[in-house]
Amino acid sequence: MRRLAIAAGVAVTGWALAQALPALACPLPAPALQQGAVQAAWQVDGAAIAVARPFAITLRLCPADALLLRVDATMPAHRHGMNYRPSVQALGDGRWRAEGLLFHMPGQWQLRLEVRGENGVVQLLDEVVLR
Amino acid sequence: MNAWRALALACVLWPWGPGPARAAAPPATGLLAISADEQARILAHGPWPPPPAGDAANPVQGRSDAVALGRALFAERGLSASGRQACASCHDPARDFQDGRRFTRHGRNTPGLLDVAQQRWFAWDGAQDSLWAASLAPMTAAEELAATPAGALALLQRKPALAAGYRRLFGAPVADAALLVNLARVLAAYQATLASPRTAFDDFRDALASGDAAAAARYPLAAQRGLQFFVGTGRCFFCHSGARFSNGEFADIGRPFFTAGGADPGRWGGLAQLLASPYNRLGSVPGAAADVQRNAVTRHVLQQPKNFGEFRVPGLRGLVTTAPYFHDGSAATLAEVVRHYSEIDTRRLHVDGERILQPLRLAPDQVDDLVAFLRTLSSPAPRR
Repeated sequence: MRRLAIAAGVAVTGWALAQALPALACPLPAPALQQGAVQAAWQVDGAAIAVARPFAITLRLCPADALLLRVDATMPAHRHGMNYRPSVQALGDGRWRAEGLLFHMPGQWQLRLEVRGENGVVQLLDEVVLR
Repeated sequence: MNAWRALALACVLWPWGPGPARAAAPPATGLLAISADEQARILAHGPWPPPPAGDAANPVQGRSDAVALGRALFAERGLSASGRQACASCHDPARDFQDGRRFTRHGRNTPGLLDVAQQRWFAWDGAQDSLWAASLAPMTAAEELAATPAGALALLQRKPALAAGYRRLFGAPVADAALLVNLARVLAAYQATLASPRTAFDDFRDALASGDAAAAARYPLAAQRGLQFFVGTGRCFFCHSGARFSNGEFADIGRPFFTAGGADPGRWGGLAQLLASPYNRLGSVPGAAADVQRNAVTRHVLQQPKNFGEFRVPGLRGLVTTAPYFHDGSAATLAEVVRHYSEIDTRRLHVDGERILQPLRLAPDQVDDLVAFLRTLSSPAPRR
């Protein structure tokens, strides 16, 4: 799990090379998320995340045949999640897209990626701070 | 020491005093010390006005002829089955499109319409996801206008100017469901032009953004204190965020949701209504799904038990002219609103809900400061 405190009202975390890497570039370079043998990296698909604005993300998984089961986010300090359930779409070669995310408050959000790898289902966590 | 900090530290107060030549003393001015975090949060409440909110699902939004027809229809009593009710009967333009009554329908207060196009969800329960669908609902509701296709066609036949406007936009009118959808889209085109004016807060916010300490210092000190509390200890900005002072979502704030007829389910019922409606953004009405970005929220919205008793977080602009407050109109004054948050009974909140609201335990002067701030979100200009 990583934490990135983001300034100036913009929250962009995860790793920003998802689109640029060649299809089979596993393992992912740091600072990718990792849980067991599964790695993930994500970036915002479009404008930077802003409070109360819908957004989508693109992801890369390693190994490339890992399955992204679910993307979700919560605000642990506030004890609530999103008011939306994102959908995920496989783009091939370990690339995925999730849409339907909306962070409706400023503060610390925990992004959860649920991934099925060869050793079972793992959760990869990342943190986003929205100001 | 720069001028900005000097002003902050000195907290300059004009020597206003009582005098025969001055009927009422202007509010004390100066500039409080503002932290970097506070400044960032304050700046996030602007700039104002925002860009117009488009909606590809309404093909006539933005057209001046649709706006003109919509304005006429908005005041047209002949659209109702009784011939006595118009949109403007409750959404009174002279009252910033509110009616000043505690509630008129389902135990809910009539929401004002300024800046309504900036919303993601409409009505107190978010039962509609577009402004045109939100216009269609009261237009056809039996307890409101109760408009019918045959009645709408008869209206156009009686009023040649309305009929000519309709033909220019849609062709010859036919007494079918599409006629009502078209009229709702015209009404939405008009309402999308209703925007709040700039306020004293906006001037302060922009002065902070540009580093104009002298201009910022013209903002009343009481409002500055209230604003600091709003973006600080009060944590009001968690829900009342952005330039419209609303995150566009729904919250349980511990207001009663029992009505004469039972309980108002709030967002829970609104979501059920939305998802079952043929007029939502996922429906088959021609053009309804045209705004792909906006469709995404309808496609992904989640109905949860916590939604019961939640109501839409209202924007805070124009409060001075849109009393009473809360979804049930149960607070007559802004001071009552603030005191609710000061004394909130957390036992009334969902046990599985958010951990945000706690009693603020405000002293009377803090209530006054918050009210002073909220009042600066309204234009001092007379009502239109």
